[in-house]
Amino acid sequence: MKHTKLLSIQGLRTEFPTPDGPLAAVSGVDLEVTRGDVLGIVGESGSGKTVLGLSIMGLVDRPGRVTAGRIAFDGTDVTNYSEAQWQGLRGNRIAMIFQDPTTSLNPVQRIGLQMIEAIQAHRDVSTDAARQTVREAMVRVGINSPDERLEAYPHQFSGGMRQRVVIATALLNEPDLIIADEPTTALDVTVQAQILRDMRRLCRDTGTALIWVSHDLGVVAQIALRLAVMYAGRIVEQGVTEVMLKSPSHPYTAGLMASMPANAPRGQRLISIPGGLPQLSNLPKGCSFAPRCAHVTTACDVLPELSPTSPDHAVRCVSPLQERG
Amino acid sequence: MSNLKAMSAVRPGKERISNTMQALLSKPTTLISGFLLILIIASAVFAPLIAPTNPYDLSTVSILDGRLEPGEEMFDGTIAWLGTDGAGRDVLSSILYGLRTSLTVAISSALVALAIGLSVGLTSAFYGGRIDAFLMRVVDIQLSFPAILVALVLLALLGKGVDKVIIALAIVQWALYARTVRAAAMVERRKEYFEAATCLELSNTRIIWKHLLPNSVSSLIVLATLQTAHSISIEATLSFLGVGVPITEPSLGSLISNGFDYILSGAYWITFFPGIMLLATVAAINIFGDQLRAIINPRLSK
Amino acid sequence: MLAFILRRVMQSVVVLFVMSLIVFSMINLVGDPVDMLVNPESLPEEIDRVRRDFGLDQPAYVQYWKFLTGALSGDLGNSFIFGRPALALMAERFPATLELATSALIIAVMVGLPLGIYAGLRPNGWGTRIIMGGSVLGISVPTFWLGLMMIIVFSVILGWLPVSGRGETAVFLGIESSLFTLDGLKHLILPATNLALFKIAMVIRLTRAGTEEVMAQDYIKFARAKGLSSKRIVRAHLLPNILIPIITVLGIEFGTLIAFATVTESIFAWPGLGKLVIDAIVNLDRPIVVAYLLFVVALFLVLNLVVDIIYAVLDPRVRLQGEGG
Repeated sequence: MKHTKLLSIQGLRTEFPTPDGPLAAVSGVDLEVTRGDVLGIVGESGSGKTVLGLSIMGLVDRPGRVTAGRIAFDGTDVTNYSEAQWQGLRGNRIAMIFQDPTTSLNPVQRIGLQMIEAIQAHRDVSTDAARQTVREAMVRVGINSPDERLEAYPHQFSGGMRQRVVIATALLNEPDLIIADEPTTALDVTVQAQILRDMRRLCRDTGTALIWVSHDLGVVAQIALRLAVMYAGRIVEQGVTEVMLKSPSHPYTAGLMASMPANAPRGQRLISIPGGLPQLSNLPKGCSFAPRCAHVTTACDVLPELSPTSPDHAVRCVSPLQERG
Repeated sequence: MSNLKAMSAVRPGKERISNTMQALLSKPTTLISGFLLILIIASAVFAPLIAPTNPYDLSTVSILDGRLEPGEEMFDGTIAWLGTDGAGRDVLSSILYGLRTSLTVAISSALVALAIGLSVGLTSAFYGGRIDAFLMRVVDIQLSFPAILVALVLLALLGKGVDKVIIALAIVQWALYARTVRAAAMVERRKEYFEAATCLELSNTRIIWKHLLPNSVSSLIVLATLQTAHSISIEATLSFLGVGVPITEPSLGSLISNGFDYILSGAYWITFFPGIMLLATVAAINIFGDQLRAIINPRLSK
Repeated sequence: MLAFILRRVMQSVVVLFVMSLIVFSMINLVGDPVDMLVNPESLPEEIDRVRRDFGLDQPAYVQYWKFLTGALSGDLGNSFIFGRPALALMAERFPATLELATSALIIAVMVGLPLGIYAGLRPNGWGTRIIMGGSVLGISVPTFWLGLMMIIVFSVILGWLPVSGRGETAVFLGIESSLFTLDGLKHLILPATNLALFKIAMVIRLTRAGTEEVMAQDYIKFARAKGLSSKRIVRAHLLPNILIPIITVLGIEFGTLIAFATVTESIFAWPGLGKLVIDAIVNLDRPIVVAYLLFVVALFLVLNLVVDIIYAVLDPRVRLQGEGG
């Protein structure tokens, strides 16, 4: 019987060695994703969200590495997987989409080949059979006349098309989970909306779980059922999207909400969170957000735990906003 | 931290030099090659003082000392540590004098090439437009021919002599200097303060010297080091072939050529030791230059 | 494409003209042009007669015209030493040089490419340190001295290989070459390896730099995310992307090989173009020097053109310009 917890992460810590000692890009992250779930991970650049995604796939660049914690995929502990074991999983049961479709594709290889090889790396099928699968996948993501497109090179496509190819590639082997790292950030706004819609539909149709990583709360909110907000390598709040959007508990989440242009009152200045991201090498003792928080107290000198306030909500704050009412 | 870097880029000064010195002293490879380099240069400079004999003073050279093996004693009692050649000259002394010639030629030609390259490069960068396009086209064409070829042909036309070799090598090298200077100067030119300077109608020379030049200095130092190694090699090759320096002022290449005739009869040392010296010199300069490049231009260290 | 080729050919012709002008003026400026046609050690009456016969008392532009027309019809004067047309002599000797240079190039690529890729894939390994150290030595070693040492070791001391000269040749596919006989190969190994040494070091450094650069690209990361094996990634994604710049550099360097062959040929008494030219320079056989110069200029222009075309053909981004989206 299949476990319902598709992905289970406990206490994940990913470090990069520096001349001044190891830097934790991700420190102590707990996450769970069930089948068919859509989880959004939101944070500014430098919050550790990309490294988190890479850690789940075992793709953290040397010399960085996962130094603590446990990652379980579909019941199997993959934390200490060898490269060969990872290769069996990647592109097969877990797939990843990167931000810039222009650089994600090999410029001197035809699109068709790049997709066929993704299939043949995991299944023993003939090139013709693989090509057929590729054709179907391309149509599914909205690329018409796939036969022509198969023979083309990446630079002959527009940005939106390239990302569709990337998405199609990710879906080829019917993965259980897709990790999408800012998949629409590099695209035009109109294309963004299309891709968003298409991905939502695709994941629903195929039952694929999706982790959508982004700095843009507005985008993530449209697709994610659940949200996790990251700050300085830690999750500061996680819960159901609707609930969090309406009533954020962590001051940072509230700040992100308020700074969304869509939420700005007309004719008034855009609100932004004062201050800047802390240097990971120079994190404040206690709550990392304290220096920028409007509600800071002396109690914030101790790093708060991520504590559940209800079965599907947790926040890392000594005086969350909702408590005060 | 990035502010600090930006500051030192605008004012290449004492701070940068001391940073570079620190970095240089930190790696063992740099220290060793640097030390070796200083040793080699010192040997060349002080050759007349430290060489056991003067191999070109015909009154002290005797054919009776010919082809002595390394370590054997010469007629007047001096030990030929590295043996003697067919005419009785002490190999060790010949190497020291030859090193002198090799280094003199290489460094002189580098300086001349630097002067030419600097003028062309700065002019090209400053005036831009058609002048730049034309000058760089000339540079490109020259650089598409291998150095050895250009040098060979030049010497075929110019004839023998140390000065002619220096000229030929300078002509071979200037293009690379010009291109490097121009690239570095162009970076400066695009910065905003350059427009400001021209608006103020500062004299052209002043702009060129005070603003475009300083940024090129670091790339030039690296280039000059590596080019010197290259020109030592080329000069050695030319002398070996018989078209370089004359026999009266032999360089390491000539010495190796000299020893060529004795290989089959087993007197390997006449060719072997000058070659080792040449290898050590060029290698030391290359290694040191590489380290220098890694420190000064980390992005361009490939 | 055609327009591109035509334009480059026109440029090359222009350069050739300019070079002939430069050569001509240098001969006239640097020495008595009559030295080009007659041995300077002939009797004065001889020299005067030749001067009148060849119209050397005529204005410069007339002389240049004669020179040019002579060159175009293949008459570049007769060698003083051999008494035969310079061009014919060169044509005779060129195949041997071509054979040597080609062999050296093949050796350089076959040895340097794998070593460079290895060094690029494992930048901090011990093997890489040794390889890179070796490559610095490779570019520092004086080729001619090494050639002498090779002769001492392999021919004089060990007696495995012949001391000098070219071996027997055989004809295969219409090409006559010493590659096709055992004796020929035995004679070819030392000089080809000697010539290749500098290039091996260069190929290693180039390949390593290219490999490091390519491996840092996003499409390699995406390939890993697809679950491709390292072998597949190197073969299908790394190699095509590094080969393009390497091939173009090597094409140009082929010219350097032909030039450097002069040294190797002198040491190993290889009967090629280089030896001919060195002897000509030392013996003041001017017609040969001039012919060599013009020949080499033409060769380089052709080489540059061919390399540019190859680059355009190999890189789909250049080839398919204008069809992009």
